[in-house]
Amino acid sequence: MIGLLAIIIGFLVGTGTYLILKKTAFKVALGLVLYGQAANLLIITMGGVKLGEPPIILREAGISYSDPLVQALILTAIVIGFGVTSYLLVLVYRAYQAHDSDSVDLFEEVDDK
Amino acid sequence: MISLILHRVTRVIIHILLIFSIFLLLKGHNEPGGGFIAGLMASVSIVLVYLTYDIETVKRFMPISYPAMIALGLFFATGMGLGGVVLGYPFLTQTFDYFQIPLVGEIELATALIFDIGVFLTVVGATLLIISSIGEGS
Amino acid sequence: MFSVLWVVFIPFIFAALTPLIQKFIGEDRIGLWGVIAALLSFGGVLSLAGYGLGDEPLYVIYEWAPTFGLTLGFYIDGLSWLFAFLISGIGVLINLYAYWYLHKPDPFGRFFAYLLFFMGSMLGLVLSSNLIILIIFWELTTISSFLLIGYWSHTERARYGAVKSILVTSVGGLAMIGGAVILTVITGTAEFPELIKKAAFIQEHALFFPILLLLMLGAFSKSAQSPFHIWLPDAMEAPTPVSAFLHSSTMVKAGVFLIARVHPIFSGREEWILLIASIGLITMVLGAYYALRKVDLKAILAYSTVSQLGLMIMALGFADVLGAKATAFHIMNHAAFKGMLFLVVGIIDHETGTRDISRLSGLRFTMPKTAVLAFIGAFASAGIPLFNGFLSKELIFEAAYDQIGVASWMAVFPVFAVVGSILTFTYSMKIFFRVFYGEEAKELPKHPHDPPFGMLFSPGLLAAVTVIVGILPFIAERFVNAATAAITQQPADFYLTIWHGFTPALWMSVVTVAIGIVLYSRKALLEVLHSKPPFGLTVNAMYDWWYPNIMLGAEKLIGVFQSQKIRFYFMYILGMVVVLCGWVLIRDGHFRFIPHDLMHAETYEYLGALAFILATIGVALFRSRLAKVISLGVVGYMLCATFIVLRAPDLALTQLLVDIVTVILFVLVIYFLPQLKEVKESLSVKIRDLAVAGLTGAFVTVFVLAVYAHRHTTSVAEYFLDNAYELAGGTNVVNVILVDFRTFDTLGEIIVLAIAGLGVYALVRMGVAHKKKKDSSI
Repeated sequence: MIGLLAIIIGFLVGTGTYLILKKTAFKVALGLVLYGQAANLLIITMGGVKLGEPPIILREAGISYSDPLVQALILTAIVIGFGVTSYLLVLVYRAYQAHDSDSVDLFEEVDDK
Repeated sequence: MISLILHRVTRVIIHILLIFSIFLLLKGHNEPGGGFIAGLMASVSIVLVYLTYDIETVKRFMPISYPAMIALGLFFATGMGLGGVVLGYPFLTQTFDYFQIPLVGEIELATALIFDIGVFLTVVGATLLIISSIGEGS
Repeated sequence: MFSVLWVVFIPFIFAALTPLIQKFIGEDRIGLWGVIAALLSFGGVLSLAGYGLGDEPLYVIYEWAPTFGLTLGFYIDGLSWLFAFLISGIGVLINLYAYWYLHKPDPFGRFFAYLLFFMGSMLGLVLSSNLIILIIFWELTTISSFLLIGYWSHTERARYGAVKSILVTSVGGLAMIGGAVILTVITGTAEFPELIKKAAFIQEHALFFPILLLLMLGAFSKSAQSPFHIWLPDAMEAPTPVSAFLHSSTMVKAGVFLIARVHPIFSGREEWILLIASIGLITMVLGAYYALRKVDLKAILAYSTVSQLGLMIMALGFADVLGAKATAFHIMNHAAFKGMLFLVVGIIDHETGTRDISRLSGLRFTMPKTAVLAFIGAFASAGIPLFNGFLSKELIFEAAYDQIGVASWMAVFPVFAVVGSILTFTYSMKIFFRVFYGEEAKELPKHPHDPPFGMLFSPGLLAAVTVIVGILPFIAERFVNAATAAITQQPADFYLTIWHGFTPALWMSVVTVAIGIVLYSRKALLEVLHSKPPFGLTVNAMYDWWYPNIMLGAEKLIGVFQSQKIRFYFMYILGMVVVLCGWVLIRDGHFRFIPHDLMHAETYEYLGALAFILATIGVALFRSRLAKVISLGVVGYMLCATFIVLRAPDLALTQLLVDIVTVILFVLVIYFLPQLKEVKESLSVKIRDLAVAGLTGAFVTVFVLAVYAHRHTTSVAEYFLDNAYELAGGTNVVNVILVDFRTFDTLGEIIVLAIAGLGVYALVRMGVAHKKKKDSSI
């Protein structure tokens, strides 16, 4: 199982990297979403794979649960990831409105002025 | 491209969806759910209205300003924390107790619920603000 | 207790409030604000006099971040109090003087803010009990000095001087940090009182000399010792009150202070004498020689300061009680007479419009009051009896003479001390007689006259101190004794008198004055000194060659790395991560995977993983943007499924809902953002990107496996699982963590979300407003 997860994380990061290296800001945004998902998957993997029941306490002795802390971390990370993605997309959109282009190189030129 | 089926179905299920989201919010302390999930659930249901009808319908259906909703949410969250400070506990200290209510039976009331309501309102406000801003802006 | 913080932070607070206050009381009167701040600080220093002049030093520590062992400590003994007294006392006078000195259109507020900023840093430097804190304040004084030298930033020379000063002193500062770090590592403390207790251990340590050398590089560069002296003359581009305050009476003495502070820790070994006394001696002679060759009054004073600092450092280098006492006394005296001379030169510059000694003459007719002040300053500097400079110089002569008894080669110290003093005598006479005697100068840029009372007050007070201490030296006894005791860590009980009897030191003074008079009166002898350039290759020339070249080199280097393209930066970062982490993994043999059940999974899990991977690749592979987004949606659903498999129902729910909203968001953006023509990528670029992406992905896979095989520590999750129900009354542990155990984190997270939402709202609104404006303008 851990082998499968590692390969999936590898593909998420690899594809994310490929997209982030593109010029089009829209693709960069897609790549960043993949990065976020890879990170979330990585964190939950580090919490241990299939250690036990979902962390809803049953009040019986002898039950092992999976790690609730990583789940709490990821839960907020997912929601914040959404917030950041939306902000990024609006930036892309505004950059297009201002410059009629959606190239990431555009931002650098603006910086130089 | 207006789908009649979608229109009718949305009219019916929107109420169910919103009630379900409140259910998720209230049960979140003991079962899967909670402020974040309930907030997203409610947002998604309202986005459904937005996609089936239009932004005007959403505004008529829910005449609230989203920034105000975010502010209210943060107010609930911090206000709950400050309540503890007033009573001499550290900021954001939580407590809970069980109460007997006639006919309903024993229920648990936790201050954490107030905080979770704050989370709920903030999530709904922020998500809808984002979606509607992008939809409206152009 | 309160007053130590008061002393150090009042100037900082007042500096920060300057712009605000300026709005209320007007730019003209902002100088008074500086005077008030300096007076408050000075009052605080005076209230600490009991510790500074008494037997028992004050050692206070404020806990700052105790878990990291970080404290803010202050140590007030004779040495630090003497410095604090001089800094805040002269600070009052300088603020007062500057109030009259500055004139429009210079920005007054900025000047006083910088000046107070410096004062606070300098007070923090001398009062801190910790070497590291001292270094922080040390660098703050460097920064404030930089700002003040460059105050008239419209002139080329001011910018040059400012850059030079910060470069030279921060090179020394860097060395000093290195020394401080080594010292802290070997002793385990940076507190001076603790370090003094460990002096024997430090002196026997193998790293003794490296530590001493590194610390001294800092001290020498700050105190303008040869060959670092080059920055001080160029620092004279600063307004004269700054030169008087920073570059003669206080900041440049920080190096002397540091040497005195570490005196009980390091002195006693021969390296101390060899390094410190020799550098002091060389600097003293060279500085005096250069001072004699200059015609600009401020340049003369700058080199004179260099030379006098060398004298003090030499005396500290002797590592005996007499040397310490002489230095402590000379620090006071020099601050008084040299600070005053600078202020006098400021008056001359202000009222005549020039500082060129060859153009000025006969000013005693038009500026009689200024002439009296200059007379006192110049004679004190020359070391004439009845002025304070004589007394401390005499002490230094005595200390130097005593060195002959230590080793016969050390006779060079008294001999060259006399040589330096002869030169000092000569240029001091030049300052006074050239400028104020002779024919009345004509064709000066301004018509000379005595300045207003406000400008005379500060140098006048310093002149009074110079004369009173010179005649009645016992006034200074307590100050000197307390400082000497702090430097040597032995009780000191000396008397200061003018007449010691016919001691060798007195004869040395007599020789100094006699040869000095001959040298000054024989024009031919002076000519010899003036004409011959000392060295072909000067340190200044080296600096001037080095500076533009290093800038050029840095620019080229930056040009290589900073391509101005985000994707290249990204590649550098990823490349470094892969190479460095990969190297560590290989080096430490961490490629140890759990061999069994590595790939053990149910069939449906294999199928799911395949779908996950295909969807992921699809995001990159599909041409149409809509297809990309749908593929991204599938990735989200697969992630949701993975969370279910991994027993995380809350995450699955959240991921499902967020996935829906994300896809809607992307679709909306596609809807509003037209498909733009894409630049065709060449095959080589595609292969390069693929290689980077493939390498990163493969590395991450290996990394995950390696890290997973090394999960040793038990998770803190046990605590939450055990206590969620009892302490928080909830059974959904994830939710309990979010809203109960870690509420503060969650609060932060919803605030982030709120800001993202409001940010999007603001961005879109801004866009609408922008568009409307555009439309209406058409």
